[in-house]
Amino acid sequence: MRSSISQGLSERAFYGVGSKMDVSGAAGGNAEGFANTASEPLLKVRNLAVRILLDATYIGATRDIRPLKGVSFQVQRGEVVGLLGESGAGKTTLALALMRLLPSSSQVVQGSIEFEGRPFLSLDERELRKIRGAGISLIYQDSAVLNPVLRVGDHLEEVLRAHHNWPRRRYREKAIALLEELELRDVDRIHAAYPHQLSGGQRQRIVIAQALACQPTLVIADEPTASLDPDTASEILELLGRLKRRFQIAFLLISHDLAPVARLADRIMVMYAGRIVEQGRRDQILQQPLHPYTRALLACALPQNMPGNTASDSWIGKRPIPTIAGNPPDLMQAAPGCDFESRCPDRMDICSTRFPQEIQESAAHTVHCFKFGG
Amino acid sequence: MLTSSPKSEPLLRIEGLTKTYSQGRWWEKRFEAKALDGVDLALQTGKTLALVGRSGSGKTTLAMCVAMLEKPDSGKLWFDGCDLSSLSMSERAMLRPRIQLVFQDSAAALPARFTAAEIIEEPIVIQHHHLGSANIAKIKDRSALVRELMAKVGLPPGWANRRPRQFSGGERQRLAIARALALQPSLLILDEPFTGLDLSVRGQIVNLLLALQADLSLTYLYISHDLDLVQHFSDTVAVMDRGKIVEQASVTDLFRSPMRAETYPLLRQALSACRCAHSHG
Amino acid sequence: MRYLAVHFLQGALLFLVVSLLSFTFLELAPGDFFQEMRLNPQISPNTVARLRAQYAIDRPLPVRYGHWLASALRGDLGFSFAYGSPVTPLLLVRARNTLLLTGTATLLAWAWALPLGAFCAARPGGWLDRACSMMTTTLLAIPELLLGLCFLLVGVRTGWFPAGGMVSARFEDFNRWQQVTDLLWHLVLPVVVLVLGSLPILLRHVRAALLEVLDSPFIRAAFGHGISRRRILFRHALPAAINPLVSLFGFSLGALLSGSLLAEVIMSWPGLGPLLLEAVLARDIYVVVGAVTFSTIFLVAGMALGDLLLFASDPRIRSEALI
Repeated sequence: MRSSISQGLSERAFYGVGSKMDVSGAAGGNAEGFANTASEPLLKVRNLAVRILLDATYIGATRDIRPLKGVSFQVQRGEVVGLLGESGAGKTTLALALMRLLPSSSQVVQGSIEFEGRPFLSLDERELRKIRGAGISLIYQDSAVLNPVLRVGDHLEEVLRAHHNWPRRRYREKAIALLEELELRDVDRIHAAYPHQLSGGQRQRIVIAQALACQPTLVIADEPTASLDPDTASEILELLGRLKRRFQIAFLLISHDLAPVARLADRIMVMYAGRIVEQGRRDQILQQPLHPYTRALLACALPQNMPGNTASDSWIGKRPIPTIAGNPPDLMQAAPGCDFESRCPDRMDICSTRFPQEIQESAAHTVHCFKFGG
Repeated sequence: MLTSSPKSEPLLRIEGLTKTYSQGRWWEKRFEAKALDGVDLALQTGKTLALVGRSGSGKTTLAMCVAMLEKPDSGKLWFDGCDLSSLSMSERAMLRPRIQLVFQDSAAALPARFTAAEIIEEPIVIQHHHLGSANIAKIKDRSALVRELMAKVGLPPGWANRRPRQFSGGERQRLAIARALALQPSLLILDEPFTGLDLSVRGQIVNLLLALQADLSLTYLYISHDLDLVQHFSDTVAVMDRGKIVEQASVTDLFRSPMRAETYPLLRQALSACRCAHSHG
Repeated sequence: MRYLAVHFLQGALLFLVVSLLSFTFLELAPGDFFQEMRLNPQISPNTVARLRAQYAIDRPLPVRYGHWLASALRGDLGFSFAYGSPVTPLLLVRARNTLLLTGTATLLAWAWALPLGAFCAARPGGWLDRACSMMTTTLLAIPELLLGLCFLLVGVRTGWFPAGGMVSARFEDFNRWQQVTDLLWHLVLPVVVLVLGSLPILLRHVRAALLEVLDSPFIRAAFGHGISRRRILFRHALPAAINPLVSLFGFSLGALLSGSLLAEVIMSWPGLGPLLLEAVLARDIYVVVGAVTFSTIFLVAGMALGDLLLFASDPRIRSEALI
């Protein structure tokens, strides 16, 4: 279902509202101002798809690239959902779409997002601003998101100012409190420092502090530890775990590496080529992976679990490790069937005809693969 | 660990290497950092030595000294029997083709405006200018060499005219490896070449490097700050901490029974992912 | 501190070079101040020769330069033949007039360029952006001469504005308040001409600098935190974009004395420009040398000040300098 989205010149403004979606029909609408009960999922995404418009004059014909092809999932309050996927899977596009921060060349073409029971895509800019940062916030991948000419204290206070109306002193107190919460030492010095005077780990903590400043209920963490060395990464992950327990925050943890997800997530979703191919509880995914891609991915991530290694340390030693033949999915080619088909060891004829439906293997575990039906 | 037989002479031998960085103006001594504090190391031909340690332990500095990009303050460095500190600049220049580097961030390490072919043949062209080696000067020979290298690293030779940004991350890394092989090196210094790559692609590059090592008798100095791939990619492991080598052993020995306290935290992280998968749930 | 010392030395060197060159070029140009007198049959050649000797114009160049340098370092820039008075006070008065004009114009130009450029960059392709783009292109294409004459014409025809000059004839008779308004009234047209001359470039630079910053990850992140557009534009983006603009401001400062010659001449504003022009035409050597040197020093000082401002405004440069 497409809606008419007018991309007037005035809307080619820099990142902001994107285009106001006029969604009708597919949402299954909750009226605005719906009271949110405890069992309601915090975030409900249904069939979300995003399209990138390539300029007609550049390519010669308007091409339609879909980094997200129809994604559905839910996040409950206080739960950590890990999103696992490689390049081209659409993870960052999903994160941006959830914040409505897609660049003007991308647009949401179908689907619905409900946050705390209210439709999200149709909010106007004023209401959206209220939610961004205070309802849902984003932890960015690398700390280039820190303004080099603003001090750390300003970074935090700006976020606070956008959502509160306090006397000036209170902003500073809250900023200091946040820095302490994030286990930074020498807080006064850091409060007055500029980003380039801090180490990578400290900068990442500032980015997290910004995201948590107004106590959102959902935090999307896009590769929070990708640019850090393992010691710092480990500390940050532990910190996120502690913060989650303390403030009951739900996390959508996006990663291309298994370790953060395996450590923190309650549930895991695996994405490939703009679609979720499998989702389930952490133990289900890690120990009984169903989709061939998930199994291959786990084999790559944990070579020590290669078949044939029964002894606990026979996996040590120089030898070729598992890989998946071929390259990560190319968004330019749109295949009618399953995108993993060309690299799948269990490929069947039906796999190239259409994309498999969702199969429920157990209570929380679903998969999109013809091996299990569909 | 030298025996009298010349075949087991290590390709690279380091003794007592030190390097200190200082910050501040010349009339005041503000801040000194001992990057290397008496490092001893030996690397056998055709083998892979993994250099692991936390960030700041001195791994990159050591690699830079081996690559002759930094000058150590004291200590000795022997490459293939030659004492590097006793060589003149031109003699050192002769040795440079034999030691090549592959970096972590290939996107930043490859010039964006060059085509793949130009990137690969650039070292050859530069060498020709400096040393006047006539046998690889001709353009026809060069493009044949480029195609051969691309095939060796698994890139379709037809892509020779593409630019780096048209390659995926794994393909760019292959390109960087092809460039490193252009001058037929003996020693390849790999500075965290797998970080940032997708999981499925990581294995491809690892397997490629293993195959190249067997095929071309390459020696690898592999720098990593995590141990997840070290166990599959190296013969020996040297653990660095604050400028010193605190433990050096074969891979199997190290993983079975690490001797020093500094090694434990590193191992713990490597095993934690595996433990998470098994113990919880 | 070392920085300032280096700049001071550079300034001194420039002072020497520029003054020497001015002297030399004037010397090379044929004739001197008393040239015209020789054409007058009523003045005998002996008188001319004696005048020349009296004013020491007949001495060789190096001698004259030496004398001039010695007195210049004491603050005495020589003697003007045309005005019959010492150069220094003359220059100072004229410079003050020029600074009044250019200072006002520069301030106004920047005060307009910053917000306009910001709003244009915020919505590239929007109506404001397109309007400003047309305006800047047009203004850039019109030579300042034409602009000045047009406005002068408007002023004369409508009678709303004075046709040049800095103050009215009866200035001394006015009280304080009337003097101020009179000055402002005379200031309008020249300032408009100067602002219209410099605004297009400033606007484009501001817009370009901001466009680049607005593409940065940290601006996108600021949106993600729910900060309002306007605040992002002025509190987040503009400070980050200030770097190239401060350098430009340094140029503006440096050009305060030297950039308004044409406007001053057309509008008959009694500034440094017309003085210099007259002096060159009349071979009034010391005025020329004094004015040129003065402007040059001002230029160097302005740019050095711009550098200092850059240092103060960008924290990244500040800490790099410490290393």
